[in-house]
Amino acid sequence: MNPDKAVAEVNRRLAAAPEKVFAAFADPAMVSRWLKPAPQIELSVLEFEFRKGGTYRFAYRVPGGQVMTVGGIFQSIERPAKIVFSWIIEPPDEHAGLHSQVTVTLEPDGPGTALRIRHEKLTPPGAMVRHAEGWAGALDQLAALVTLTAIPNSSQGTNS
Amino acid sequence: MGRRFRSAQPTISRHLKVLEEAGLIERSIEGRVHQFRLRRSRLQEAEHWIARHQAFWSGAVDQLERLLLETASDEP
Repeated sequence: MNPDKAVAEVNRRLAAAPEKVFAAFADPAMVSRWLKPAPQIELSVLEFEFRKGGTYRFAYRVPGGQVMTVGGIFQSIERPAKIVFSWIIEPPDEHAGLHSQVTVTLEPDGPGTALRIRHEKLTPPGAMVRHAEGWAGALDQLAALVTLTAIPNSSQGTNS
Repeated sequence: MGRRFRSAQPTISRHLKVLEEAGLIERSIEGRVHQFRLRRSRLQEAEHWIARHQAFWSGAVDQLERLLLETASDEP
């Protein structure tokens, strides 16, 4: 996959001022109440050192009981405008090893805030899928070629 | 295959091995003939993976919005 495409981004206008929105990112008690994809998912904040170089760890428990743990480091904090942190999925999740990065940007928008969350470097771990797009054309040719060369000729052994 | 791709046979074998390990192609062996099959679903999984993160943050911001409204109404 092209790294430029390995991005998820959400833009939202919020009624609260940047300082208030920022506070919701900076306080672990607040974070545990919202930083999850759905209300029924439980978020336990295991670590939370909100300073540059500080670490955080979140455990997400889904209704079935399965737990996914994510952690990272706060790489940049500019109150109340910007937060950058790494986002690393821990084992035993099938996606463990993903080493991605999240950038939160808050800009004043009238009395409210224009919030942008950009999650980058979302290259699926394990699968070397970032190569896939470049390879896709070659693969099409390959598939066609393999079909052609699949005609038995094995006794010669020259067709690999 | 080497003629078609203008690469040396070991190079092609190595590339095929990488693709195989990434789950992008499947190999079946009959005698000395190796057949390869493209697994398009792996490419779709990559798109699904991005969509999952998009949904995660979109859901999180929904809840952030709700929380900010609640805390705003708590204030005197």
